[in-house]
Amino acid sequence: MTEIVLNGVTVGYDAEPVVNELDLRVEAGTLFGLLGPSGCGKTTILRMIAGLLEPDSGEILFDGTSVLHIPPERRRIGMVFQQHVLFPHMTVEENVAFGLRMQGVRLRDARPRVNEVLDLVQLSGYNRRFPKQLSGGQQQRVALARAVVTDPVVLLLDEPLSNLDARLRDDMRSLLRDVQKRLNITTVFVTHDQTEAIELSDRMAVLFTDGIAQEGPPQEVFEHPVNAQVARFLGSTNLIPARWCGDGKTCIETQFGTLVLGALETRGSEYELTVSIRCEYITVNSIGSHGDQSHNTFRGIIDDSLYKGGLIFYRISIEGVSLEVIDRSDRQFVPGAEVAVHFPPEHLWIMP
Amino acid sequence: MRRSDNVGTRAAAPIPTDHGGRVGLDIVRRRVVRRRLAILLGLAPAIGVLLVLFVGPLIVALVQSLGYAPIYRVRAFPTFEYYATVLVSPRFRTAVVYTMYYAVVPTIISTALGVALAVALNRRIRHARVLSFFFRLPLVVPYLVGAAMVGALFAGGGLVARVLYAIGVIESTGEFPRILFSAGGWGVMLVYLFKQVPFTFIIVSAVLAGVGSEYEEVARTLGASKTKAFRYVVLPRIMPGVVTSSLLVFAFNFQSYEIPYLLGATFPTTLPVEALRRFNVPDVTRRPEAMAYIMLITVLSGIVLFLYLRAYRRWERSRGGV
Amino acid sequence: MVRLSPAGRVFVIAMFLVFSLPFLPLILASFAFRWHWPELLPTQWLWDVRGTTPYPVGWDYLFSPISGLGPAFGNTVVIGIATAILAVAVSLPAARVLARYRFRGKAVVEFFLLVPVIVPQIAVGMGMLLLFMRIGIARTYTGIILAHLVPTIPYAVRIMTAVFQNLDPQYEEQARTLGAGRLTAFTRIIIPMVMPGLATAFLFSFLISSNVFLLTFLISGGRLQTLPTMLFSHIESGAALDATTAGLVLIVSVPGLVFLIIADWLTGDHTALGRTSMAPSTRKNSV
Repeated sequence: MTEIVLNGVTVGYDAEPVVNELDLRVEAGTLFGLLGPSGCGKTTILRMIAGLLEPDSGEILFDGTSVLHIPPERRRIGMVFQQHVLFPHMTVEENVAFGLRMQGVRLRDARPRVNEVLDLVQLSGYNRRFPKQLSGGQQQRVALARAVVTDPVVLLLDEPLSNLDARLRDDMRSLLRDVQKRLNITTVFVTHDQTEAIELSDRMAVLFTDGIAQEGPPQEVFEHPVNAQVARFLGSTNLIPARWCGDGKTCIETQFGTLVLGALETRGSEYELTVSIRCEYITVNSIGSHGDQSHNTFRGIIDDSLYKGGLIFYRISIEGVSLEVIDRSDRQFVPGAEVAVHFPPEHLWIMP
Repeated sequence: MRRSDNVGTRAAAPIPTDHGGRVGLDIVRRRVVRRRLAILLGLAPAIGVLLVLFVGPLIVALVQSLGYAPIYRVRAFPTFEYYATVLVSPRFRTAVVYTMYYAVVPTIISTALGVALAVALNRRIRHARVLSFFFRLPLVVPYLVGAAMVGALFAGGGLVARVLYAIGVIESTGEFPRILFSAGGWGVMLVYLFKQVPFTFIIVSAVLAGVGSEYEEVARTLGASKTKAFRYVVLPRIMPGVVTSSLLVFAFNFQSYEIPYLLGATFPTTLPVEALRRFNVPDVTRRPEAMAYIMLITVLSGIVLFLYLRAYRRWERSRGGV
Repeated sequence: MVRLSPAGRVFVIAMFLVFSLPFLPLILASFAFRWHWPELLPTQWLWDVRGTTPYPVGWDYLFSPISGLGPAFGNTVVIGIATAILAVAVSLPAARVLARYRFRGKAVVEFFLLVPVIVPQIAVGMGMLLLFMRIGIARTYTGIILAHLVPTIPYAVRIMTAVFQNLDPQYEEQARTLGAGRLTAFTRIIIPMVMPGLATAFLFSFLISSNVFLLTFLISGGRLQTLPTMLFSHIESGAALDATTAGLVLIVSVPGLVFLIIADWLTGDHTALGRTSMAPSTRKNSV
């Protein structure tokens, strides 16, 4: 197992830095997700770890040893490219065996190991096929098998699920996790899709053009974004301006009323602050049906409602504040209806 | 490629209609006729022009070579006499050897250098655009420009000889090795290289641009050194381009007239030079011999190209046919 | 992209010198009046002797009426433009068909349209001369222009086939759904979209025509001079570092130079020249 550390890594094309003074630590054996919008330099980071791109300055360490002077073929990494990049002139078997053959192993001797990893990715018996005879999902799995056949110490995945359709993504996601855990290999993947990052990684980092905004376990990043940019990038959330009420830091004052917090908050600025609550956590009920939720419940008007297979997306305004709400119940309110909107205290998150 | 496939399948698929059988069938039939007409009318001009201007002359040459040339009062058709005369002449056989030699050697060298250059410029290098501009410059000027340059540089009193004299390597023009007008054909081959390294370079560059750099990169992450990545991954991908460019280069070298005429030896020389010499003999009744010569050049060049392509296809198939 | 290794850089620089330096001595030579062995630079320049020679020399000679450069240049341009127009006109419909349709015998047609590049020009040229003498167009502009069509059509067809393949039929269909008639869709959508490709095909045809030597040489019989045939006779009779030949070489290189600049500007991509001419098509991924 190998720990990867990037220290103050900077790289740019034509003098314009794509990655600037980046520090990153990936613990040994973790499945680490780098989430960011396109153009934030996430693939560039992957390529630098692989040795395909030399940083202009900074240090890249595997287990504390610099790997900068080591060319990609001797870094003991495996990389799965976004487009799979299977060699079209080679069979599945030849593709998977490629890494071993580069070490001087003959195809015949490589076969047992090849079959082993093909089995791992559930492609036993596909040895003689050519890449173009495979589906996208199968190609992806061959690329994965090819990357791990030489027992690399680091596995790098570029947008591992983005080229697959919805059904295949779920299979591939569990396969990836399974393979990673079984081989116990330090893995870094990049993606622009927050669900992919959250569902796949042990730890993740959110990356924007100006660097890493937040790093931590997916649940923490998802529920407790450090700033508005992260919160927005992680999908539907409501950011409500507020200020402390009283001095106890147990409740906040918003434009539409007082919100009680789940726990005593110590963070946030002294006066002006922003509270975040994810759309899924706000509940909507008809007026008077759950009278017991007296605090944190407000009257709102449905501005818009949209049914999306099992989920209902609402736009609701409370005293002029517009909120987005995702509801999972089987009744749908029509626009203009008056509803009771509840904010569960445990899901209110004060932005640091 | 893929686009035309799509269009093809779409046109071939049964066309659904709600007018009922007969009317629908009529529409289908009319559509098929219109499609055929479009294809025929579209191809007609280009094919027609080439039939008259390309096939026509070849037929004229063929007929004359077989002894039908009434303007010279030759009416021996059909006879292989002229072919026999040409084939038994030692000059012809010498010319075959030299033509092959002048064609094959530069083809190999320019293919190697052109591929290397394309691969090098496909990497991150400063001023790639400027460099590429100069590498393509020889490509867009006539071969004769190359001939003049090689003359200026490598003639007995040329610049290279002068530089060698200045640094004391040689003491007179006589000591400078004979590069022009020699049977070795160095002058001829230098001109070919001047034009054809750039040619190979741009063809292979175009193919490389289509292949992209990911294949090489993924090979590197799998433990292939630069050399191995090229040998096992990049080269097989660009092979069609390499074969195409070397084929065109060979085909050109085999039939080139002006360069061996200007910079080669008077004897031995190449088939095209010999052919035009025969064509210009005062005795016009011997012109069919020249026609036999050019037919033989065409056939020989065709055979070599065919064998080369067949060898490549076999090699390709042995790799699993991609 | 991987950085180029030092050895690779040396190779590239060496090749750069090999392919760009040879123009230098010709530029020098074109301004030289005397360049005695074994001097590395001309011993007497043109401007030193200007007006003292009984007849004009070097550039002065080239630009004087007696050199025949003017007519040769004019012939090259006229023949080139006529050839390019005809080649594009003849190839355009064929390219459209090859890009759009799949039909029986397509491979044969494609091969036939490519073969003139491979078949020895001397064979075509000699047969053509006999044919043209017969119908009375040998030694005429018409004859030379027709001869030049043979090497240009294959390239024009290929370039424009690629252009039409890249043109998604959906653009035309979209225009039709927006109320454009067949003709309007063609003039307003298709033509503007294929224009850069047409221009490339035109320029490439012009370039080939302006570079053809043997066909012109055979068909013109020395009666009509073009730049290449004029250069040929100068090299045939001239010395290695002759000022007139050197100047002529530079002038003959002008069309190519102009072509390269325009082509780069049109396509903005230095591999385009190869891709549109003879490079086999590749797809980036096999997915």
